[in-house]
This record gives sequence, structure tokens and C-alpha cells, in this order.
Amino acid sequence: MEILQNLMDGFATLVGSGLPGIAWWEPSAVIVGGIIIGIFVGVMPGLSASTGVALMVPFTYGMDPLLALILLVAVYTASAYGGCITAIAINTPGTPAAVALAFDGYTLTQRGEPGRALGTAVIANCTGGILGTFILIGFSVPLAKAALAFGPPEYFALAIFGLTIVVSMESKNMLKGAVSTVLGLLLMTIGLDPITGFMRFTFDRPELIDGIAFIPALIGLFAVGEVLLNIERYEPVQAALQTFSSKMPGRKEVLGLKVAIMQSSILGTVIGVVPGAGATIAAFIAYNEARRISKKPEEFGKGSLEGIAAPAAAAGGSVGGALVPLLTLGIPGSAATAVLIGALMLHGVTPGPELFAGKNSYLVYGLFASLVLGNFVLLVLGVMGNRLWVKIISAPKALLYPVILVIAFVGSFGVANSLFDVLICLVFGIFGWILRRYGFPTAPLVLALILGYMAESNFRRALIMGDPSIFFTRPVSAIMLLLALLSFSIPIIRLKVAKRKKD
Amino acid sequence: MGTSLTTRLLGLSAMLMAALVFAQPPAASAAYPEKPIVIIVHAKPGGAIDLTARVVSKVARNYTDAPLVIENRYGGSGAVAMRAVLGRKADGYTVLAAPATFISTIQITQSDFGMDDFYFLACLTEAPEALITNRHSDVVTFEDIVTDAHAKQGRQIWVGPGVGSLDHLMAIKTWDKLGITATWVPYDGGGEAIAALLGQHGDVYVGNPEDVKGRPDLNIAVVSTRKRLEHFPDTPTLLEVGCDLPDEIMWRGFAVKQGTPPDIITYLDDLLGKVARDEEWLAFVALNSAKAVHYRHDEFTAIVDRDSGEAVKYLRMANILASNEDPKANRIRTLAWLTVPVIALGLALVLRLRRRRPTGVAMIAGLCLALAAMFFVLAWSFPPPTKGQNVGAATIPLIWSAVLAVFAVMQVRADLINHQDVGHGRVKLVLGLVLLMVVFVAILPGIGFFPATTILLLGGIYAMGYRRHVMVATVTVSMLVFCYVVFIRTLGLPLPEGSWFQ
Repeated sequence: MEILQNLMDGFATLVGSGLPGIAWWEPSAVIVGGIIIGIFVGVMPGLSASTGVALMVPFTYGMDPLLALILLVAVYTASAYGGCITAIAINTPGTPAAVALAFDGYTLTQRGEPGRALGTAVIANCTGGILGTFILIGFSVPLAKAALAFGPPEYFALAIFGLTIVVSMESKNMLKGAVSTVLGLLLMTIGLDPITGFMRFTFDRPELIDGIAFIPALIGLFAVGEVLLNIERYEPVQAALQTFSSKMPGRKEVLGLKVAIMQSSILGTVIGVVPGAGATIAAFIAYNEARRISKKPEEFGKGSLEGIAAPAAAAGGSVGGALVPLLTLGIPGSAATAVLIGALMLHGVTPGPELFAGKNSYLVYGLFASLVLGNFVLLVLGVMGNRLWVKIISAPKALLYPVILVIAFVGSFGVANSLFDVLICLVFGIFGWILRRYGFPTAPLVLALILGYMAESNFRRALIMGDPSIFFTRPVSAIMLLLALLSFSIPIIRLKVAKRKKD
Repeated sequence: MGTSLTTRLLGLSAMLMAALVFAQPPAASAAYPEKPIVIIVHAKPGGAIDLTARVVSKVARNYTDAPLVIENRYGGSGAVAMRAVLGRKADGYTVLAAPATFISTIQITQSDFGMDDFYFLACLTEAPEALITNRHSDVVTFEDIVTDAHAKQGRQIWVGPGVGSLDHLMAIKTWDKLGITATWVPYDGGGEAIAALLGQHGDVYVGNPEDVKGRPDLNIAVVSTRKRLEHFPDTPTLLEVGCDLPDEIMWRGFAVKQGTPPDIITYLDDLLGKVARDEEWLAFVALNSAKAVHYRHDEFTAIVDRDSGEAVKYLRMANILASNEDPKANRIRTLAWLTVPVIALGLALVLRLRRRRPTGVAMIAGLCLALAAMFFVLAWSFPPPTKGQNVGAATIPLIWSAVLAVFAVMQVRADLINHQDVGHGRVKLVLGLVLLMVVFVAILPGIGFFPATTILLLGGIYAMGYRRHVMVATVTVSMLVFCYVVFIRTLGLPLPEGSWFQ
């Protein structure tokens, strides 16, 4: 109950009596502004949540620490949703976590119903965000303890689990999915070896020392590849006839998603606690689990609303999850929260468990309240924004595609201000077009680039710490590896059985 | 629908134009500096050195008319940033934010430049190194560390950010002086390493004393300074426990390219001196890193030289430098390039024998096979695992390339049995657009961002058969204005200005 009381105090700080030196309207205005900026950050390929938050830091210099914190968190919250928009509208995930949204979301868009997909995504995302906040408030201490128990063997097992899910998702053609995944894993080994510092496959290019930057690769494979693929099928006459509806999903449809949304929000928050690829893995696991419990699993991949709601809710929940280690241990739970820690230090606030007790405790409860409020604001703005996004994708393709290309290249450049990344984007774009043309899925390649690093570095760390049995003697790691084996082999067995029945 | 979008775009561009007018920087004076001074930072926005540079930039505005703008050029642990500075003119408009870690970066990446290619202006902060332990583990005090290390015989685990990093060097030096052995497990940053210590996946974390702030579970076992620290009076120093190392510090300073005119150096030296004495700057440093200092050129260069010599010695001791200098590797590299034509020929032969024309799927699989073979051969040139370990730099690439090769062969086989060709669409249009994009990327650095983008937009739109010229012009102009306002003015992206016109 004390927690609820504190939360109410937090709300009071935000909208009511306020703090000395802050006008009553300022926190709300900051939240709305932050949400709008965040959506923009998420929509722009190349601007990740962490970059978006970092770019806002200088603007917070003169602000009260509370205002600074809620502004940055609002940007972070909204950018998780912004990434979903482009995944649905133009099959270009703005964040790695949104890759799972493109499967069903973009299918609906192609069918002319982007409004339903976008509406489902924003509702699921905000519900996930709010549920994630409550989980953060209620369970941050046990969650943080659990996160600390995760050592290299467990991170390795989690990455492998994530990878097998990605492969098994391509059930139509698992072999092509597997080729794509392993190709990504191999390309990931380019760059400085994480353990010995040896330069692998860098071909004397300094730009390759850190490996292939996966954001330009993602932009290339998805944005540029998608544009090229569409241009190949482009018929000016037919294109003019295609219309997009901004109609939202009906109330009944949304209510039917409640199980999927609840489950995915919890998964998103809990797995989002894992630093690094937490949010991305969470989105994929949520998608997979939603399919498993769904009454209509056959619709997944063909425009299922559950298939949209699950990753969107997980992405929303992961924000709360990433804040768990920040508040309880003072350790970043994601790239964006790492920036948040830096920003807090600038204001003389040291994140960590002492925040809750000291004179800065108003910050924590103000933050909780702002997360809840922010998600409501995001819901309203997101629903309002639907029409705008639908308008944009309804623009003549001949205008839209070149504009997407320009933004893709600028976005790739902006990741590290490097022309080499523009080249990476172009090469992966052409490559993505060819791959997709011949039925090789590109999502596993991108995911492999992200998870492959997590898998290798933790595999190596674990083996420095002990002998190979370490993966099987530690219970969490053993269970996850078993799950990975199951999630990989069950689709294959099922396929074999189905084939035998046919013969 | 089209008109409505136009109105929106026009409205938007009008708003952005207005923002542009109000966002003009103050007029600069005639002599140096007459335009913004760029500080190149090797870390991502929000990192410690980035924040330091941003505060310097903010404080410096009190003392100079030219704004100091931050340009983040990350990659290669700083190699990309250093190269960026050396690639520009020595005119004082490009300043490098230089942390102590650059010494190791230059050594590990075997760069063709060195620290002596830079003129070190001033060192502004320094932070001592510290060995940090978990209060809830069995290893808490410095004595515990030594006893435990002897008991575990090299299996004691030390964690910290990166390989060859300052913290790693600190660990190696301490082991050397104490005569103990332990294992270094590198993480992707201090935060991850601290989490590992808290979760007891490591025994000792090497970092800065400030890392324990706000984390009551952590304990500083020992600090690297010769005198006890003001904030941690109960913590012993390395010297007290019998480990005679010079002050091990993590310094952060600023440098320019060698050859910068003396009057400009005097100006920057004076500017940084003013910043170093500024109240706001001192307040910032007090909150974050350890200590505000002001070492000018001579003193700073002496520190850099001393640390460089030490780094080479200890990197060799840790077997990090040796691994990147293997002569046998060159022969294997040549061999690796040969695998590609061999595989291509082999595949062509197989298809020929089966009387099949190469399909797209088979060609992609063949490409994967060639790549896998090349990486597999190259990986043999990697150094073997260090003593006592089974996996090294080559292990994972060898595994993945072997698996990829198997899958690729399976794919070729599947394609031979069940051969399907895809329907062809407007491939010529796509190839035209690909060509346009290649031209765009090729001319971008020379011609500049705006002309190149105009070519890409107009070329793309007209190639797709769109002919409403007014609309085309509107979209193109709005897009250029949008890019200028959002990416250049607001986000400060250094988009290429065009080297051909300068």
C-alpha cells in the first residue's frame, strides 16, 4: 500500500501541487513533447532510442532533475513504439525489437488495412508499457536479483534460445531461414574479437574493426531491400488503385487480444531486464508464445492481430524492464538507460538503490507516475497519428520510394557519422533484394547479427570461467538450452510427420 | 489525397523554415576562430568522454564566440575518431577528445599512426584506478584477493571493460607486481562488468573509485594512487600493501593534429585553461569523474609518453600484441582469396554435369559456400587459444563457416531436386535504381549531400514514370529543407559538404 501511496504522491508531483520552481503544467508539457520527439526518433531509421535520448541530454542541462528525467524517459518510451510504426507501414523496423512486428503488421498493410495493424500495435504497446511500469514498481527487487544470477552461461543460452526461435519462425522454408541465420552469424564475427582483441576478417579496413554496424545493415536489408522488391513488382496503374484504410480495430477485436497482450507484456518486462538484446529477444519470444497459446495459430504470419499485439506489448513492457537494473543496482538495462544514467549523473543524481530512500526519492515516484502518464499520452497521440502514417504511405509510390531511400542513407550515415555505413546500407540493400527475391528471409540475418555477438562473447566468457559442463550444470542455462533444442526440433519433426502423412 | 499531402509538407516546411531563421548561430569574429570548432569524440553520445566534451563545449561558450560542436565518430575503439582528425587540415578547427585508452587502441589495431601524430593541448581530468570487490562474497579485502588468488592458482576471475583497456592493463600490472596469476574476463563496458561482480560471476572488478557510488554492495579493496583518496580515507593504496606502481590514472584531455599553427595552439591552450578554472566545469567534474586537473602540453605529453611505453610492455606480457603480428598469416590470406574462384568453378561444373542453368537460389547458396570457405581458411591464420583454454579467436568463425557450408550445400541440392524459378518483374527498373544509388554513394563525398540527394530524388522519381513536375519539385525541395533543418541544424550530423568545391 505504501507503494500505491508513493505512486499517488508521484502523480501529485506531476500534475498538482508540484515542486518549488516547477509550474504545474510543466511536467505534462514535457511528457507530451518527449513523446512526440520519441515517436519521431523511433520512426527515423538510424535514430535508435539511445541516440534519441542522448541527443536530448544537452537540452536538460538547465532543467530540474525530475523534468530532465521524465523528458528522457518519455523519449525512450515513445521511441519503442515509433519503431513499430515503420515496421507496419513500410516493412522497415525502426528498432531491432520491431522486426517481429513486420511479419503480420506489414501483411495487413499490404492488404490495405494499416489502420487496424497500427491501432493494435499502439494499444498493445501502451498496455505493455503500463503493465511493465507496475511490474517495475512491485517486483523490481526480485527481478534485479534474478538478473544478477544471469552470468555468461545463461546469457549464452538465452541468445541461442532467441536464435532457434527466429529460425523456427520461418517454418515455410526452414532451410533458407537457417542459411540466412548462419550467414548473419558468420558476418557477425567480423571485427575485433571480444575476448582476445584479435582483428578478425577486417581486411585492413579501420571501419570494420567494430564489425558490421547492424543498424545500417538492418536499414539496408529492410528499407532499401523492400523498396527494390516493390519497384520490381511496381505497376503504375495498379499502384494508383491501391487504397489504405486508417480504420482502427474494433472493440471486440481488441478485447480478444487481452490474453496475448497480458502474457507478452509480462514476458517483455521480465526479459527486458536482460541488458543488451533483452527487448529484441523478448519481442520474438512473445510472438512465439502468443502463437503457441493462440486459438488460431495458422493465421500467424498472415496478418494475425495477435501476432502484432504480442511483440508490440513486449516492446512496451521492455522499457519498464530495462529500468529495473537502473533503479535497483545503478546498472544500465539497455543502451538507452546507459545514457539515462549519464544524464542523471550530470544532474548530481547517482542512480541505484539509494535513490529510493534519500532526498531524491521524489524522482523515483515521479518517474513511475510519468511512465504511466506517458503511456496514456502515447496512446492518444498514437491513435491520432494513425491517419498521418496512413496518409504518408498512401502517397504515390514513385514519390515515396525515393524519399525512403534518402532517409535510409541519411539514417545509416547518422549512426556513426560514417560514409562507410552508407556503403554498408547500400550493399545490404542490394543483397536484401536478391535474398528476398529468391525466398531467403532477411529477418533471421539481422537477428543473427545482434544475437550472434551476445552468443559468442558469453560462450567464450563462460569457457574462460570453467569447462564446457558449465552450460549444463547451471539450472537456468540448462533449461534454456533444452528449450532451444525443443523450439528448433519440434517444427522439423512436425514437418516430417506431416510429410509422411501426405505420402 | 496528393494535394492534402502537399499542403501538409508545405506547412511543415514553412514551420521548419521559421525554426531555421531563429536557430542561426551568433556571428563569428574575423580572426581564428571564425567558424565552429569541432570536437571529435570516439564514444557514443552519453558516454563519459562524450559528456565531458559536451560540458567543455558548454563552458567554453563563456570565453569564445565560436561554438564548440561535438561530432561523435565511433568505431574501432577510437581508431576511427583519431583517423578522422588526422584526415582533416591542421587548422585548429578539429580537436580530438583523447582518453588514456587511445594508447592501447593504437597498439592493438596496429594503426599506421601513433600518439606522436597529435599535439596534446591539455589534460583536464584524471581518475585513479581501483580494485573493487563484492561485500557479500568471500573476497572482500586486498588480503582476501591475494590469498584467494594463490588458492585458485590462476582461476580467480577479474572482470572489467574490454581487452587491452586501461583497466585490463592495470590488472596485468598488479598481477605482475604481486606475483599472482588470475584470469581476465572482458565485458562490453563497465556497467556489464559491475553486474557480473554483483552477481558473483567474477571476484574482482577493475574500475574507478566512483563506480561504488550508489552501490552499497561494492567495496574498494585498494586504490592505485600513492596517497590515500580524500573521499575514501579508509581505503589502502597499492603502495601501502607493498605493490610499487606509479600513479595509475585514467586521464582525459584534448589534442590537435601535429602541425597546427602556434598562434592557434596558444588560443586553444588559453581557452582550455579558462575552462579548467571555471566554476561550472569544476562542479561537473566533482560530480562525475574523480579530479579536475590542468596539465598543459609539456606535462601532458610526458604522461602520454610514459603510459605508451608501459602499455606496449604489458600488452606484450598479456600476449595481446603478439597475436596480431603473425607472419604466417599472410600466406593463409592469399590462399583464402583462391577459394572463391575454386568454389565458383566447382559449382558451375556440377550444374553443367546435371545440365542445369544456374538458378538464383543456387547462386546465393554458392555465394554463401564461397564466403564460408573463405572465412574458414582465413580463420586458420588466427592465433591459437591462450594456454589452458580450448577456444580462441578462430573457434566460433570455424564453427559457423562449417555450418553455413553444410546448409549451403543442402540448399544447392534441394534446388537441384525441386527447381523453381521466380517470376520476373521490372528487373531493369530495379537495376537502374541500383545504379542510381551506387552513383549517389560514389559522388556523395565529392559533390556534397544536397546535390547528390537531389540527383537521387529526381532520378528515382522520374525513372518510376512520375511526371507531375510541380509535385516533384515540391517534394524534392521539402525533403532537402527537412534534411537541412532536422539532420544538420537540429541533430548536428556532419553530412558531407562536398570536397570537390573546397
